[in-house]
Amino acid sequence: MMDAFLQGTATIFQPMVFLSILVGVALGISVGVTAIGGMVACALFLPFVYQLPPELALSFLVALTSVVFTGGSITSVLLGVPGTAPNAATVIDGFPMAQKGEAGRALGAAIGSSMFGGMASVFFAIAMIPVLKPIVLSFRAPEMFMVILLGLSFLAIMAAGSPVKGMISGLLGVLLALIGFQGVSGVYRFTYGSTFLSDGLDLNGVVLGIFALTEMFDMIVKGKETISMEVRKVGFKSVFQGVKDIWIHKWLWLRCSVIGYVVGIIPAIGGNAAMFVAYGHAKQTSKRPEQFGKGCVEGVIGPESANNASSAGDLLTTMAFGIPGSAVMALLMGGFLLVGVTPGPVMIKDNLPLVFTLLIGIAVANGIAGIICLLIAPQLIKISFIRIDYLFVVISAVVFIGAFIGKLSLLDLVVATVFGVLGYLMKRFGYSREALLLGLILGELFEFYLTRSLKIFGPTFFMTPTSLVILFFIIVVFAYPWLKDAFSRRSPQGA
Amino acid sequence: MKIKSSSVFLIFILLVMVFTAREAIRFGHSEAMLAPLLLSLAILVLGAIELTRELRSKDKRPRTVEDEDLPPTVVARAKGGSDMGRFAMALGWIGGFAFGIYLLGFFLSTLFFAFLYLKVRGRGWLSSTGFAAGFTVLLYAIFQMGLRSQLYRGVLFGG
Amino acid sequence: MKSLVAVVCFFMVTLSCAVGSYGQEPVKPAAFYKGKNIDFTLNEAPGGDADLLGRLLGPHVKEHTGATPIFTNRRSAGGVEGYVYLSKASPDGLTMGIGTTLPMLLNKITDAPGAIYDPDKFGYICSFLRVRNVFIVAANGPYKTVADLKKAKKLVLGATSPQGNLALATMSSIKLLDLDAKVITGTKGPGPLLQDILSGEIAGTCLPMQLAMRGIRDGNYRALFTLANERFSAIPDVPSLKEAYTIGENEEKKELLAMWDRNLVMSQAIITPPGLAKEKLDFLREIFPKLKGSAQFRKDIDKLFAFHVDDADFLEGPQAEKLVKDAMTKAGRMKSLFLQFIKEYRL
Repeated sequence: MMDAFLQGTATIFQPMVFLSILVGVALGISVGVTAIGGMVACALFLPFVYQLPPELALSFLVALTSVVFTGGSITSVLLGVPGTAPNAATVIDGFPMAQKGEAGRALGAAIGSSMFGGMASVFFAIAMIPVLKPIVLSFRAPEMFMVILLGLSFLAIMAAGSPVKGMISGLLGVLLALIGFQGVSGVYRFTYGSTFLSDGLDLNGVVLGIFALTEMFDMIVKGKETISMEVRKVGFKSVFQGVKDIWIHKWLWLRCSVIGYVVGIIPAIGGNAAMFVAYGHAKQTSKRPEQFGKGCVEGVIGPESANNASSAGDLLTTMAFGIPGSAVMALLMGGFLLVGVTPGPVMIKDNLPLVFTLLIGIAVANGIAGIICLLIAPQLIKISFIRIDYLFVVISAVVFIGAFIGKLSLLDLVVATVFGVLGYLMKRFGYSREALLLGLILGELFEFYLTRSLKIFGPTFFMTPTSLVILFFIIVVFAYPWLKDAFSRRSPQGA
Repeated sequence: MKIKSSSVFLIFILLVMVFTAREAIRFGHSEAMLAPLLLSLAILVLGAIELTRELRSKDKRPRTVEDEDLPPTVVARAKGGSDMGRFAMALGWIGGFAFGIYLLGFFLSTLFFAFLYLKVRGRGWLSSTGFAAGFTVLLYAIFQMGLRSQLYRGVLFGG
Repeated sequence: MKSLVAVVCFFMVTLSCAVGSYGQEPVKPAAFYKGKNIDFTLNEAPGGDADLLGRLLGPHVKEHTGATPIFTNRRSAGGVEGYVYLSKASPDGLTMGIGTTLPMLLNKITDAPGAIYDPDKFGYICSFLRVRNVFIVAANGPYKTVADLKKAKKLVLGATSPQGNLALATMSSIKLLDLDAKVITGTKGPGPLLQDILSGEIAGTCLPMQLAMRGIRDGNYRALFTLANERFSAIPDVPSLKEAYTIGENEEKKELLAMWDRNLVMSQAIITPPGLAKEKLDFLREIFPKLKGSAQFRKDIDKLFAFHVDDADFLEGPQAEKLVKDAMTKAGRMKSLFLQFIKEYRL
C-alpha cells in the first residue's frame, strides 16, 4: 500500500496531471459561483476529456467536482445564493455575517473550512481503504433508516424560537419530498399527470428559491441599499480572522469534517444531508446557540467543513464498489468507464496507485482552490457594497439559470419562485426554512427505508447492532441539552 | 378580533393539509397513502396548537421593519408603503422576468428586465443601459460560449 | 395611404419569395446536414448507459454527417419525457434520440402515466447492443445453482419500479421456475440494487446483461442463468433458463420465455420522430452502420459495456424497427401477464 501511495502521489506532480487539476479547480470554482452544480458541469465537460489518458481525465473531473462547494460558498456568503445545494446551510449564518459587515470573516471561515475539510477527508479515506467494504455493506435498510432518523432528529435543533413551528416546517418538508413516483407501490403521488413532477421537486430550484430569492425579497422589503449596512473590517485582515476562527473552533471543524466524511460514504444520503447535520451539531454544541441564524461563525464552519469532506467518502465508495453513491458520482463513474477504468474491487486491488492519485488529487485541488479563493476574497467582499438594485438583477438571473439548467425545464423557474414566496413568508412569520429543507432532503428516503425495513426484517428491524449504536446517538441528540446542563452544574465553575 | 397575517399564513397551510389528506386517501394503495395522510394530520394538529396560541396571544400588532434591529436610515427608507406592498412589487418583477424568459428566452429577457428594473428604480439611462448590456453579454459569454449550455430561447424564437 | 403601400409591398415581396422557391429542387440530405445542429435527446440521467453512448456517438455523427449533435437529457418519469418529446417533435431530420427499447416498450405496454407515444411509429436508424436479462446472486452467498433457489423458502428478490424491466424480468423468473419468492420494489437504481445483493438484504435480481457484467467479471456476483433460450456469448459458462431448468410442456411458460428471448430484448436504438422523410431516413441509415466498421467506436463501446459487442448485435434500421413492431403485436398479452405478476409477486 505504501508503494502505491508514493506512486500515486508522484503522479499528481507530473506537469500535465497537475495542470489538469489546476484547470479543474478553476472551472470548479467558476461553476460553484454560477450556481450550475457539479453534475451539470461534469456532463458538460465529459465529452472533452474522455479521449485523454485516465490520470489526466479523471484528475480533471475529480478536481472539478470536489471544489464546486468552495466556489459555491462564496456566493452563499456574499449574495445569499447557495452555489450548490450543499452550500445552502452556509447561507443561514454566512449571509447575515455579510449583512453585519463581516463578509471577510465569513468568507475566510467558509473557504478555510472547505479547504481543510476537503483535505482532511482524504486522510480519513486513505485510512479507511482496508475496512471500507465491511462498513458500507453493514448499512442495510434498517441502518439506513436509523441514519436518516438521526438526521431528522436535528429538526428539533433547527427550530429557532418555536419548536412547534420548527416541527411544522420539517414535516412540511417531508411531505413535499413525497411528491412524485413512489417506487414501492408504483403510484404517482400529487403529480396530476405531470411528467415534470413525476421525479419529485428538483432540489436546485427549491434551494435557490427558498434561500436566494427569499433573502432578496427580504432586503427589498426592508429597503436596504446594500447587503452590508456597516463597514467594519475590509481587506485580507478580516479574511484571515475567519481562518483564525477555524483554529479557535478546531474541534468543531474536526467533528464536522468527520460527520461529512461518514455521511458521504453512506450511499444515497451524501453532501445534502451532511451540511444540515453538521449545522445542527454546530448549533447544539455551541456556547451561544441563540446567535445561530443571526451571523455566527460556527454556523459557517460546521456545514462548510462537512460538505467538502463528503466528496472523498463518496468517491472512495464509488471506486471501491463500482456503485455510485450520488448523481454526481454516477456521472463521474461514466467518466471512469469512458477512459477505460472500471471502478470496483478490481480497481482497488489492481490499480491502487490511480486510486491514491485521485484521492490525493482531491486534497491538492481543495488546497489550491482554498488558496486562490482566499487571495481574491478581499476583492470579492466589495460585492457587499454594491447597490441592491443591481444585485437584484444579478441574483434573479443566476437563480433562474441555476434552477433551469438541472432538468432544462421552465417549470423549475416556477418552483424557484413559489419557494421564494414560501421562504419569505416562512422567514417573516418565524418558521424554519432549514428544517423544511432537511425534511425535503431526507423525507423520501425516510419513508422508503422504513417501508423496506418493515417488509424485509419485520417490526424488530432496529435491533441490529449498528442500528442500536445509531439509536444511542439519536438519544444523545435529544438528551444533549440536559446532559450539557448536568455536566456544567457538576463542573467546579457550575457548582 | 383582528387576525394577524401570520395566522392567515397558518390557516392557508392548514387548508392545504386538509386537501392533501383528502388526496392521500384517494391514492388507493395503503403504502402510498399512509405517509402523506399521517404527515398532513400531524401538521394539522400542530398547526391547530400554534393557531390557538397565536389567536390568544395579546400582541396583536403586526410586525414591521421597526421590529427588526436595523439602522434608522433603513427604517426611514422602508416607510414608503407597507411591507406586503413592497414584497408584492418585488414578486411582480420576478414573475415578469420569468414570463419574459418564457417569451423571449434568457438573454433577451435579462437585457430588458435589467434595463427596465434599473430605470424604474431611478438609475440613469447610461448606467441602466450599460449594466443591462454588459451583464447580458457576460451571461452569454459564460453560459452560451463558455459552457455551451442550452438556455431556453423563448417561445417567440422557436424555443 | 402610406400604410396601404407598405402592406401591398410586403405581400408582393412575400409572393415573390414563394414563387421563387417553388419548383426548386429539394436539398440533398448530405448537403442538408452540413453545418447544422442536431437536437439529440438522451432519455436517462447523465452517466447512464444511453447517456454515455450518445456522447460517444457525438464525434462520429459530426464526422459522417457534418452536423453537430447538441445533447439534452430528458429523463423524467423513467425516460418517458424523452420518448414523448421525440414523438411530438417535427420530423425535420434534425431531431433524434436514443431509445432504450425495453423500457420504451414496457412503459407503453403497462400504460405508464404519460406514455402517450407509440414505439412502433418512431423512425429507427439503427441499434447497438442486443442483450437479454441475466439472473444474478452474490458470489459468496448461499445460492450457487438454480436448484438452490428452488429449494429456498420465502426468497426476497429486488427490483426498481414495479412496472419496470427489472421487476418484470425477476417476476417472470419466479413464474418460470416456480420459486417461493416475492419481489420488493422501489430501489433507486441498478447500483443500489447490486449493493443490496452484496449486503445480503436481497437474494438476487434479474438485470440486463451490460449492467451485471462488471460485477460478474469482478467476482462479486454469480450469474445463475440468462432469461433466454440460449447462452450469451460473453458469459459462455452461464446456462440459459431453458437449459438450467426444464419448463416442460407448459405452454404459458414457453410463451413467456419466448417473449423474453425474442421480443423483450434490451437494445439502444437511435430513433427519429415519426414521419421522417424516407430520403433522410435512408441517408441516416446508411451513415450509422459505418460505425460498425470504426475500430475506435467499437473499442469505446466495448469499454462502455464491459464486453465485446458482436457484429450480430449491431442492428440495421429495418431490423431494429421489426424487433419493436413484433413486440408490440404481443402487447396485449404481455400486459395481462405482467399486471398479474405485479399483483402476485410484489412484496
